[in-house]
Amino acid sequence: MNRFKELTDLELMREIANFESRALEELYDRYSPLLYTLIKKITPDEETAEKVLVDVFVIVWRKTFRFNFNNGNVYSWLVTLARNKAVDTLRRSRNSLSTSQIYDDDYEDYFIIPTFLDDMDSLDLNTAMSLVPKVERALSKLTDTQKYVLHLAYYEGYTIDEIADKLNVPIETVRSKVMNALHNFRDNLTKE
Amino acid sequence: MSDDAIHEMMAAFAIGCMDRKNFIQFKDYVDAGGELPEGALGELQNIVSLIPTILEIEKPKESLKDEVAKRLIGLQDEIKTRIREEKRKTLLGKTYQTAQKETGRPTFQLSNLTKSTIVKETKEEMKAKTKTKYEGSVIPEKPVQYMTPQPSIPQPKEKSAGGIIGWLALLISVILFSVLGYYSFTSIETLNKQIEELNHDITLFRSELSRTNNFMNNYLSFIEFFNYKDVIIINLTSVDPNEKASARVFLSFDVKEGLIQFKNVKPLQPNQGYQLWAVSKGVAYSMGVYTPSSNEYIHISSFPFIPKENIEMLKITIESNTGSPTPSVQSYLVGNFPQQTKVR
Repeated sequence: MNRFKELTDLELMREIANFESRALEELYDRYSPLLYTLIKKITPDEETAEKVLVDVFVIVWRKTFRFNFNNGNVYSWLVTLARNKAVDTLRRSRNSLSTSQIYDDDYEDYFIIPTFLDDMDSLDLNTAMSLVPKVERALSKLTDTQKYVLHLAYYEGYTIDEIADKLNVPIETVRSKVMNALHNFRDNLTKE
Repeated sequence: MSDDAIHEMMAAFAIGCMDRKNFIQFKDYVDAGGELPEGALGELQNIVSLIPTILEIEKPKESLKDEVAKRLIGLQDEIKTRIREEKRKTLLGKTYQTAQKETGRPTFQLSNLTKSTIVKETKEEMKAKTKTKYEGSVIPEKPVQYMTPQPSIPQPKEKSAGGIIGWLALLISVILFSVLGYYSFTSIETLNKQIEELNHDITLFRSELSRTNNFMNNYLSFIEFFNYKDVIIINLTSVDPNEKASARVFLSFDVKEGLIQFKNVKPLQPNQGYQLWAVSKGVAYSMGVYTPSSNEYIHISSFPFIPKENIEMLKITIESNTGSPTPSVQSYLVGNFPQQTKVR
């Protein structure tokens, strides 16, 4: 019996921090479908998506010490890490000014690895997946503009300035649209 | 910074759509323990991470797992080094559970990668090193060899005659050594003095060079800055008419860069800084905290994101050196934004 299957996400991260490769394997089994789906949605092609997925798990292996064990939020950390890595790859492929820097360890630590505070609530994969129907309803209640702005920002990897250029609206408008979209999404989810 | 601005920043940060400059500014603020509504950023980050759950989940190819395993094997040396470094600090004494073996599907199991095996390996390596050390040592394996009598070499017999010549030679040698010693001593002393003087000169030249470099760097940034178009100059003066303190701010909205120069400002406490604010519609937006050492030109670290037409004035307050989200004390220096730049 594989004892790692019984461990929580956080316990797996602790094992990975001790370089226990089978814990990483279990984490891969749990998270790779969701992370791959997200990465594939962001990156331009399947080959890139596969490469990014591998890179993400290599980052997890090498940089577990950067994970915030105080809040223990494995789910959000992994999803945000995968999203950041995928968006960075996408931005580099379209020569965006926001990623003109050389990709090295320092860059990865600062721009790719998520910044989470200690006061953040913990979330794991099972809890997140149990919320899917509520998330669907909460998102569907947003206006088309709000959905579009979230899509451009989250999946297309555009910055606020780039969205403002694309939509030909002032930067301030985009800022408030992003904030309102997220706040409405949060409020809808709370009401569910 | 107003509440709305903080919430907009948090939302943009959570969804990951900040441009580079604002990202760095906000991340540094968060990393430095800057004040934020409790739990608000984490809540938004959690909400955002739920977005991909509604996608139609697709499994990656099985071969990708092998690919991850291969990359991990490639990292073995790096990880081993890290574990060894960690272990050497607290070395030996602790035992670790041996890894349980598993077989079956492609796995990430890396031979010799668990702590237990690494520690064992380290111990063995140390043993081997110790062994090698002794093998290569000059100490013989059989010390008894030193006890074996060595073949004797015939020694020249001492001559009894020529005692006076010997004494004379010894005397001359002593005199020669004394003269040579004195000469060496005085020469070395002279050389040491010269070296000391040269060192002094070098230090002087270095400090001179450093001052010149500082001067050049300071004014180069100032000269370069004036290559930009639409440079706006704002003079800030003290709210106390008896005080001579002032500051000048140079802003180029074309390239979103700026410089600030302080003059005759009062000395700050070690934990204080001068925080620059752009005031628009009664709301103050931070443009960074500065701790000038003299009259140097300092680059504006946070260029205002509000349009220049909306800026009414700039002001400076004395805050903690980590900055404050809103001005917490009365203004120290103030200056009106030039009227001709406003759209009427």
